[in-house]
Amino acid sequence: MKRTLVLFGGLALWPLAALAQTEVDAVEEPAHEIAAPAGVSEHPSSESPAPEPSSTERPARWGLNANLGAGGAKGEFSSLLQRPISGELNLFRTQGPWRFGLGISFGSFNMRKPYVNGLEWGLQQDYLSATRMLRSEGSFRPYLQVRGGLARLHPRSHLFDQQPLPEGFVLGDSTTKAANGFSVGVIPGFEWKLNRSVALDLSASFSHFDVGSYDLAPVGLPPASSGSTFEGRIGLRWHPDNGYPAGPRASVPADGPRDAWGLGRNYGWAAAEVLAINWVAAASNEYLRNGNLNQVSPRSWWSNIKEGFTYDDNEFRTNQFIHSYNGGAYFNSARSNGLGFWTSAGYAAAGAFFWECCGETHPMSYNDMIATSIGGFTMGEMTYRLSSEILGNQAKGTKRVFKEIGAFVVNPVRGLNRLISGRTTSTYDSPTDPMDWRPPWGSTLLGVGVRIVGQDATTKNTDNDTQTYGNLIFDHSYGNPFDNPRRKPFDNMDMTLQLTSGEKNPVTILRIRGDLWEKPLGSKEFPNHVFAITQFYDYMNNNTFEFGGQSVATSLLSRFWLSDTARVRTRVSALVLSLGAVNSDYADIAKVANRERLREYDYGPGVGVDTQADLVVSAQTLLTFNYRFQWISVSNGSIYSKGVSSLGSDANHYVQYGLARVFIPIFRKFGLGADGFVFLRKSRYSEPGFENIDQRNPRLRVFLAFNTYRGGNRRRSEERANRLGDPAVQAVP
Amino acid sequence: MTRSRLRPLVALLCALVLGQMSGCSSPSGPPSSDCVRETVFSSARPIPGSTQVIQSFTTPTTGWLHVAVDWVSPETIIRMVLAQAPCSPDQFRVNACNVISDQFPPPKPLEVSTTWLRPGNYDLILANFTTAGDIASVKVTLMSTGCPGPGAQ
Repeated sequence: MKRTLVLFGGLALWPLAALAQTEVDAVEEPAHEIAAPAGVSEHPSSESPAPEPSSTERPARWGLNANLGAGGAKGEFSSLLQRPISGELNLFRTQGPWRFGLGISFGSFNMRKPYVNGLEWGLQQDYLSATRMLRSEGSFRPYLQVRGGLARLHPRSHLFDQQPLPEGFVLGDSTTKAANGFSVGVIPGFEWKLNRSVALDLSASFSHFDVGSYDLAPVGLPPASSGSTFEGRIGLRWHPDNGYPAGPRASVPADGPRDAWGLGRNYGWAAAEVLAINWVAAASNEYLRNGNLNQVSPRSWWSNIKEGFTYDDNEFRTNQFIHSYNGGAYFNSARSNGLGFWTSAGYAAAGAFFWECCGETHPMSYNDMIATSIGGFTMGEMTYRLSSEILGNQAKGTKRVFKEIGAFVVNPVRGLNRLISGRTTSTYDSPTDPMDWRPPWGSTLLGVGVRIVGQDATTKNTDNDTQTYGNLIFDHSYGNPFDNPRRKPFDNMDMTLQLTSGEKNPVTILRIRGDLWEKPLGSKEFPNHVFAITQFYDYMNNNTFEFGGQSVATSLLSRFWLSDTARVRTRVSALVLSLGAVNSDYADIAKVANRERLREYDYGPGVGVDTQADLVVSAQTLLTFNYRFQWISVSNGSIYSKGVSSLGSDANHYVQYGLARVFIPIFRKFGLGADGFVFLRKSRYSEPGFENIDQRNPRLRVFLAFNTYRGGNRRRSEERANRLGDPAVQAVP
Repeated sequence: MTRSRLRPLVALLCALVLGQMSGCSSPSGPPSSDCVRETVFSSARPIPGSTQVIQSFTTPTTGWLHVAVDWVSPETIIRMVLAQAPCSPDQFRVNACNVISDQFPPPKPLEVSTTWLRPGNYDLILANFTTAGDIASVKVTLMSTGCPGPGAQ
C-alpha cells in the first residue's frame, strides 16, 4: 500500500511541477508588478512609490470553493458501500498559476442490497490541496488538483452498534465505531467564469481512502480497509470582496462606506466566516465529540430540509447558552467585517439555519433557531460593545497587548479578524463618537464572594438542602437611556454575568438587556422618561433551577432626582417571550425527533413583566430591586398530545423571582455588597397523573465589590445647564 | 514543453492514478436470505398505573423489527421505548441506554418499524403515565434480510 501511495503522489506532482515551470506566461500578475503606472519613474531608486492598485484591479488572492458530488464506489468497502455523495468547502490562496488550500469534504455512502434503506455511512475528509490552473485567462479555465489528508469513515447504521456498548456510554454518543485513516485524490475540472468573483466549477473526482481494517461481520462480509470513489461534481468558485479577506483597508474602495472603527463593508468574507465556523465546528465535532449526529453529508442535509423543524432535547446549557454564543459568533463575523447591527442579525439567522440544516444529522429544531438567531444577535452585540470598550487603537506596548487579548477573549471572532487584517498590531484612530467606543455614561460592578442557596425547596422535596458556593458577579451598563446623545440599537445595554465554582456549569447567570429603539418623552435635551423597545436574553442555570429565553419588551425607563447628585432610576418592561425554557417535572416525555437524552426542561412562549429600581448616589448604585414575572405556556415538554387528539394535557409555568441588593461603600470605589434573591415556580399540569409542583429557592450573596458609575459624578444642575444653556447654573463650580 | 504536449501527459497521469487505486474490481455484496417474518415476542400483561415494565427479547438473525403495542382504555397513556439490552428503567433515566425508538401516543395502537438491526438482545420498556392500570399487548416481528427494507413498505 505504501508503494502505491508513493507512486501515486510522485506521478501526480511531477507533471504539475512541470506545468508550473512551463506556463508562467499564463499567470495573472498584479498590474503594478508588470508595469509601473503612468507618471511614475521606473528607476528602482525612485522615492515615489507606485500607488497600490485598487481592490478591483488586483488579481484575487484568496478564494473559496463549494462543490457537490455524486458517483460510484470501488475497492474493498464497495462490498457493502455504494453511491457516494459529497459536499465540500475549500479555502485557497492563489500563487501564480497555483492555488494552495485546505478543505473539508462531508461525504456518505448508502449500503448495498439488502440494506439499501438503512442509515448511511459518513466519510469525512480533511485535506490539503494543490491546484494547477492550466489556463488563467478567458472564461474557460481548466485545472488539475491533487489533494491528501485525513479520512474518517463512520457508520450511522444500527447494524454496526457495538455489543456491548462502550464503558461510560451516554445516549447521544455514537453507538458505532469510527475508522480513521487517510485519503488522496485527483480532480481534473474546469471553471466557467461568470463574473469577476464567481465561476461555475465542473469537475470529476477520483479518490482513494484507507482507514484500516473494519469488521463487516454484522452483514456477513469479510473485513474491509480501503475503497475508492469516483464522482462527477458541480460547484462554485468565489472570490469574496475581490479576494482580500478581513483586510478592510485593502479589500474595499478607499472612499466606500466605513463603520466607526474604519472597517469597510466586507459582505463576502462575513458570509465566508459564517460558513467556515459551521463547517469547522461540524468537522471537529465528528472527531472530538464522537456523537451520533455528526456524520453529515448532502444526504442528511436534504433529509433535514425535507423533515422541517421540530424540537430537540439537548442540555439546557447547549440550547440556551452555547447556541446563543455560536449565534454571536455568526453575528460578529458580520459586525467585525464592517456591517451594521441589523444586517449582522441577518447573518446570525442565516448561520443558524445553515447549522440546523447542515451541521448535524439531527432534524432542525425551532428552539435552536430562536436561541441562535435572536439570542445570537443579543449576545453578539453585547460582546461587540464590551470588546469595543476594551480596545484602544492607539494604545502601545504592554497595555495594547492586554487590550487586544482582553477583546479577543470577549469576542474571539472580532479578535481573529483584527489579527488577520493586521489591526491588532497597527496604530490608528479609535472611533470619534464615544458611543461607538466608551460611552460617557455607564456602570460596572465586579464582586467576589459567596453564594448560599437553598436547593431542594419544592413540594416534592422539602429538605431545604442549603449549599454554599464561591461566586463572581459582573454587572455592566453601556450607556444611559437618558443622557445618550445617540439612540442606535444597544446604545443602552445592561448585562449581568455570574460565575460560580462547584455548580454543574461555571456560567450560572447571563442576562442581557439592550434597547433596540428608544424615544425620549418630554424634554429631548434632558429627558427623565424614555420609552423603549428592549431585547432581553435570559440564562439562569444552576443545580436548583433552569430558566431562560429570548423576549422582546416595551419598556418605560424613568429617573427621579432626589437631590443634585442622587436619583432613583426605574424600568418597567412588558415582555413577550418568543420561546422560554424552564425546568419541569415531566419534561422527559417531550416529543423530540431523535432521542438523544431525556430533557428536564419545558419549552413554550409566554408573556411577563420585568421591573427594576436603582438608587444611584454620585458615582455608585447603592440599592437595587428587581422583580420578574413570567408565564410560559408549554409547547413542548410536559404536555401530552396537545391539540393532536381528543386526549391530551396542558401545562403552564408561572415563574417569579425577586432581588434586593445593597452596596455599602468602604473605600473609594470599593465596598461590601449583599443581595437576597428568591426563585418561585408554580407549575400547573392538566393531566391528572401529573402532580402540580411549587418550587421555591432562596439565595443569598455576599461579596466584596468594585463599583463605579461612569458619568455619575456630574451634578444634575450642571448637566442640565450644559444641555439647556442656563448661564446662571453653568457658573456653579 | 508546450501546452499541447502536456495534455496527453495529464491524461496519462489520470489513467495511472486510476490504475493505482486499489481494488478497482467490484466485490460481491452482502449475503441475503429468503423473506422470513418471525414473531420474536408476543405478550399481554397488566401495567399498573404510574409504573413501567421491561420486557426483553432476542432476535436470532439480522433484520428489522416491527413493534406494535396496544392497550385497553383510550384514556391510558403508554410510552414505548425500544433499546439495545441491557436497558433498565434506571439506566434509561440517566441516559445510559442505546435508544432505538421512543414512541408516545397518539396514535393508539403504537406501531413502529425500526431500521436494520444486528442480531442480539433488546429491551422494551412500557411506561404507564396514567394513574389507572391497563393491560398492554405487545407483538414484535422480525423481518429477515430477504424482506423489503423498512423504508420500502
